[in-house]
Amino acid sequence: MFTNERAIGRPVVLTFAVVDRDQFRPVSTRATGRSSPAGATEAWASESSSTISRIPNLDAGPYSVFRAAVMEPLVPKRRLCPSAVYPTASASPPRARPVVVATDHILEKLLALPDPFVSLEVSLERLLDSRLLEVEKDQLVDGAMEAGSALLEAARRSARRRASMHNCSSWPLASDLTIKVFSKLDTQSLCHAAATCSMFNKCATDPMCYENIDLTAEVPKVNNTVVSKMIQHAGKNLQSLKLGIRSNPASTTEFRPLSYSTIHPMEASGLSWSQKRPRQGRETSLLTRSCLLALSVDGSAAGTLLRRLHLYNIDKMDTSALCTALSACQFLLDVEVVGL
Amino acid sequence: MIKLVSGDGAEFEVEEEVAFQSKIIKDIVADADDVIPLPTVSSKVLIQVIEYCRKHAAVNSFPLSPSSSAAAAASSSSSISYSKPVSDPALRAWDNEFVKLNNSSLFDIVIAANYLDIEELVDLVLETVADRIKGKQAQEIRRQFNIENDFTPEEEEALRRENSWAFQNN
Repeated sequence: MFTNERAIGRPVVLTFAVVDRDQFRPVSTRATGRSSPAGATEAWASESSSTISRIPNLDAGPYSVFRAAVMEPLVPKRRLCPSAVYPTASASPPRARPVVVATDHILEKLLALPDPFVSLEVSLERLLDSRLLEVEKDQLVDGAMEAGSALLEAARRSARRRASMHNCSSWPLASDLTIKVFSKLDTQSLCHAAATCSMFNKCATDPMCYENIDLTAEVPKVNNTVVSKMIQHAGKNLQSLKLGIRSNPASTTEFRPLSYSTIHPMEASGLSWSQKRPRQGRETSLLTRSCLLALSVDGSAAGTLLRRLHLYNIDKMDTSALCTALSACQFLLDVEVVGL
Repeated sequence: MIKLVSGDGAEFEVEEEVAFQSKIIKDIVADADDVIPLPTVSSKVLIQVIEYCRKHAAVNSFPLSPSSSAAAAASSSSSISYSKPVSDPALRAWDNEFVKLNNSSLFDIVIAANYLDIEELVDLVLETVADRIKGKQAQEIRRQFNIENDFTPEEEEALRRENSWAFQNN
């Protein structure tokens, strides 16, 4: 679209141009014969009788539009139709500028309203009163809603873009260094980091971040699907994989989980810690004998470089499943299996 | 001696083995002169990097070839001497003190160290940064590093659903 091309150097303009094209059009087609940007904003701000037309005359040159609008705000113009107002990309690109500039001007005035909540409502009510037909009133209300949500959406997009820019200065590391930081994280911390901002989220998709997968926990949290997904993320970079239930050395005296089968009867008996967990999580947090299947798929790609495999208390794991997994990992140096 | 010139024009004379902690400087000196401009490194950061290199050059020179003149120069340039068995814990303790800095100082150092190709220093700082992320919720990470949430609500919901196991409380 030509508006995009023109807006490359001015990202803020792009948003307004899009808003203008998509959202303001229905209003403009209902506008009466008067059309000038300055007149439009004044009508918006204060005048009750004149109608709103937010589209400038496109037949004038890029710079004369504004001058004309300012000097003779209420000169009647011919009735606008959508095709005249919005030339398509293949039509005449130079005409885009007046549309963009005029929209900026209108928006600036709108945003400068001292008390928008009151003045916009009063103004809209007056406009509604000035319409005779019910269908016109409906259209006006619809248009106001559309324009309002368009502005809100544009503001949110801008805020997100500004947040992204802010993050680049708060976190100046290039993505290769960020990925190195992430590769030093445990897998759960990595998930939290990935949920922090879009820059982190992008870096956290790099296979290097998943070189060392540690999904051990004191209570069962992950199921086969999660393990498979993490192994797939790592791909050929997988070096170390730790799964299962491990007791926290600090809490061994109070509670020592031994295996999935010892934990689940305890959950069923309603011990206090288990009540914190959602009921449905119980079935889905099970690791079974096929939890290492992802190591073997795709020509054992993920198992190729695996050096370390630690399994704790996965009692559903059996010898044949373990052998299948181990046969996919030719370069294992460190295997620890507890509670098979 | 090798002269390093920071981006703000300050000059620092350092011993070869200190400067050679940076692989890139080692390469430059091998086929050029002894004055090395480092336009992207500020003097504040360069002082910290040199401090690190001086410490590590002094410690590292012992296990390396003791007959070389570089090792002799290193030992004479530093009053601290370590024998190999105690050097590692002591150096680690020193490193731990060295990285007790705010995030932006750490970022400055790691960017400079990456540029100068000082692998150990890059690793040390990145490890420290990772430690400041570990065990934290997304919101705490944002606070720690002054990061703003730039996801749409839909994106955030989707990625929390995707890794729901990680966001459960236990």
